[in-house]
Amino acid sequence: MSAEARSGESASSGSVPEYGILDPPPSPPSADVLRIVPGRGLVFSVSFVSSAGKKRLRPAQVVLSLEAVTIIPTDKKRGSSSPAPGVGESRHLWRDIARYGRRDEKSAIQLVEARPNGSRDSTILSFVLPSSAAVEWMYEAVAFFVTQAYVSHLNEAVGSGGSESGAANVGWAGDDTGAVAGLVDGAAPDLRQLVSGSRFSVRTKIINRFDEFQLKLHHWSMVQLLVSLHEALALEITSLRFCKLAGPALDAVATRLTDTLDAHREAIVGHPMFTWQQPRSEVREGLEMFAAVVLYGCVFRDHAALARDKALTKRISALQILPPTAFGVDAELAPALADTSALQANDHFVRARDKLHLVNAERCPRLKVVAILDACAAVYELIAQLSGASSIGADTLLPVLIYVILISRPPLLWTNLEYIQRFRAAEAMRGEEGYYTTQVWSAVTFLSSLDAADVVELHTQFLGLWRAHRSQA
Amino acid sequence: MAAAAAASKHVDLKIVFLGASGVGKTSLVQRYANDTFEPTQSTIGAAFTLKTWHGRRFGVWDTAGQERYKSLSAFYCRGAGAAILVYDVTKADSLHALDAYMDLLASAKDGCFKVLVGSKLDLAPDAREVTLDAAREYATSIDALHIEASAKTGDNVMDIFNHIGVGVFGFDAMTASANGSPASTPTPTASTSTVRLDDDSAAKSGSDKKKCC
Repeated sequence: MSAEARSGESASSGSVPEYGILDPPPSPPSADVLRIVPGRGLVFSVSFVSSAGKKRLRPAQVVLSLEAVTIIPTDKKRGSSSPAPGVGESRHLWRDIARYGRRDEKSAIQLVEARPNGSRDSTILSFVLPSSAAVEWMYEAVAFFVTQAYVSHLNEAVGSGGSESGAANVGWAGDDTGAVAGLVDGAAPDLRQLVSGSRFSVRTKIINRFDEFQLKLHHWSMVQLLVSLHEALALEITSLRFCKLAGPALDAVATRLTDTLDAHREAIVGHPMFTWQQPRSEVREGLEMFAAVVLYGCVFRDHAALARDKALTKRISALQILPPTAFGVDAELAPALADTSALQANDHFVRARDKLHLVNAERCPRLKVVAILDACAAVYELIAQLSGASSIGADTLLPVLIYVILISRPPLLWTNLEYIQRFRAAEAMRGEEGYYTTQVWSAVTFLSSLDAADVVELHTQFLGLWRAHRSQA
Repeated sequence: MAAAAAASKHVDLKIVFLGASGVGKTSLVQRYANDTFEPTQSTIGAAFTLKTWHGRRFGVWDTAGQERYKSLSAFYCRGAGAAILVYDVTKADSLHALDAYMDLLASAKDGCFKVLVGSKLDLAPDAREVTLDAAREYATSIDALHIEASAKTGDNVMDIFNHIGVGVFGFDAMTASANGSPASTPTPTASTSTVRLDDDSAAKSGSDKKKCC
């Protein structure tokens, strides 16, 4: 019981106030960040202010999994000034939470300390939950305490398209993605600047509506539903732990997720909070974004698609020297597009390029599709500006789109398209969103399917053009 | 209202346009989109058109017809409830060039409603190369409805979509358009096969369309 002694020490040192059983619970946390760790469940990192309102307690991480709620104190490296490893403090804190709302002894929650591998520093506190009632209100208590933090985190995660901040929030997602993205040597736009720009009207609307949905979803009366939703998602995360996922496995995940979300949607639509205002599709969109933010790190990386992306990146580099006509661009548009330095300075092209890069930076399938729509709108404007045509059909759009993709070199297109295909609702894909996603899909297919003979032929064509040009000059 | 705008993007029927480049697909789509009889919803470009037909939303997918992109058309056909196959009445080879699209259409929905459209009808009196009989015979062989239309004059363009609407949703949809709520009957495929048989035999609606030639 050395741990007991340690906590006694830290309590007696006077740095942590002791709460009596009748004392009021701590005020709601000023929580900062939340992380989701595959296989461990949902990790909340929360810092609390004691009921006296003076002492700021050491932050702790809460792992919410199916069997138990585990609190891992943050390691002492962060707060290097104080040598005490926060276990005692968190324990007091969580004892308070354990008392909060307790009604009978049957549902009493035991606080258990464990020291993995005999380590001195990393003591893990767990609550053993003896009954289902205890599980229920434990979730309720945790939901109560972390709601604010969670909402603000999710908003941030949805709102921050930037690859940097994305990697910071979801640490494990950045590794491979970054490495493959590093293959792209084209000029990458400053994504942070992009996101904070003022041109995001549709995107901003979507995010605002998602905020509204989030607030409603985290209302106290939704706790049961939220808990079951979290359980389902946490189960998914746990089962996908350390898996190297590719095509079929992810398809299965998508099917399961659709079923889960449909089931919850029915319950949510029936809830009084939502019946009077939100149309059914809104709830579906909200749930889809919610699940995407939680699961993104687990389900984005399709290893088969990542391999195809590597090949595509190489191929795109090899095809750079070919003229636009080689990809089917009309002869009248080709001269304007062939001058890449002028193209890079064209506003419409720059917007299309930035939006294509944004596709990879976004997380929610819907926002990825919105980025694709914006990119295609910019390509339309580019064509209209260069050719003066008023009505532009697919015959004109597709070749130029292929060429714009070739020049702007967006990262991980295959992976993103597969992700959209799997996790964007099927009914949305029959409309405009589906059409332009299909356009990009076929553009990428075209670039990928040019085999060696085609490339040689294209090069030969190019050489022919070049010789003709020289002989003219 | 932002929420309403998002909801209106929902599509009841996906219609895909197929045909070689230069046969006038895009002009037909344009003609249809700019017709003011039924409202057109705003989209980012002309290649995808969203239009309301008696309370149902039609999403019209234009495809790139160039030879080199032909294999890509399969992506566009996926889940299509109707397909419009376009040939040029003034080009003899454009009709049988459509053969290439037939196996691509296999990835469309079961019972995909097919319409064979001869474009550039306004040029037909002088430069017709595909006879009406040949086209009808071809239409029968691919189990499609046949219409000739002109994007320039607008002849029969709306009829193409009326036929599709009736063929997929049934006559009830046209007559019961007063309430105009698409949510009440969201299953388009149910009546497809039976109605198409009627149209193929050109019993009522087909016959008056062909009077124009």
